[in-house]
Amino acid sequence: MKTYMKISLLLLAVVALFIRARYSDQPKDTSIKHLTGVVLPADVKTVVDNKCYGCHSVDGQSDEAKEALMWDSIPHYSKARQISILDNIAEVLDKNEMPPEDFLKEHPDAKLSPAESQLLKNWAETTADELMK
Amino acid sequence: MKLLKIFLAILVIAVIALQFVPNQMPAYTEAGKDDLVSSGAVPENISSILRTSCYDCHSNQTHYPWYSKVAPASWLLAKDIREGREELNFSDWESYSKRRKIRNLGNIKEEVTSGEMPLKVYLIMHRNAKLSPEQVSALSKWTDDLTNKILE
Repeated sequence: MKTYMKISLLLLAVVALFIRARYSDQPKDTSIKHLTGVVLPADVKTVVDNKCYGCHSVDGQSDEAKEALMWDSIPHYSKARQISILDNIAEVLDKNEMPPEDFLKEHPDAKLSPAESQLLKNWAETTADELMK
Repeated sequence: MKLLKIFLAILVIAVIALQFVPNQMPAYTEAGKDDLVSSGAVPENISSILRTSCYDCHSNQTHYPWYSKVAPASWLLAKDIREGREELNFSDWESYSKRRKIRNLGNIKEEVTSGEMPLKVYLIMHRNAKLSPEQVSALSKWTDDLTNKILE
């Protein structure tokens, strides 16, 4: 009986922790802290934080998005890989492929304005070119 | 037996009907000045692999097989070739930016090492396009070398 109760309590504690983690009202820090190799100017960072980071970070819900790009991982990659990623970012923006259309249906406010898209694209291209010097 | 005959007749008519659905195969064009292999910058062993295993979908020099004229195979071919050329077209290589070249080289390495490329469906009818482990490592080394050269 004692063991049974201990196990129940333990389970309850685990569930409580899970609920806390899931529904914690603490604001989640979504800023990019580790981009040491690739520096994000403040205006670019705002766009990334608001429009990209939700899916392309550890907390993202979609494995596909995380597999394709994790903003925090960029500095850990080789120079060649960083250039590739930046070029890919520029390309999907150029083709208006991000954020994905079906995602925008659910989250219309995630849409990039033409100015935001241009800002991000210019940043990706210049940073990639910088890296090649 | 009669039912089977009717069924077969419908099938034949359906397949014939499919042939009339419009379908545009991506055009074949001779290699121009931007073509990677014709540029001569690629070692012989690599260019031979590229031609045999990649060029049908990743260049404008597609060797169309007979079944490319028969729907529905032609539809699948058209789609794969269109998408292949869009992702990476060796015929346009020299016109690509340095960063795009680096990205494509990284992707080539990843795709051939993981066995994603050449596509399985392509290998069914092109057995000689299958990459041997030696060819994979040769390609992989070539992508690294060229990437470093571009970065120099």
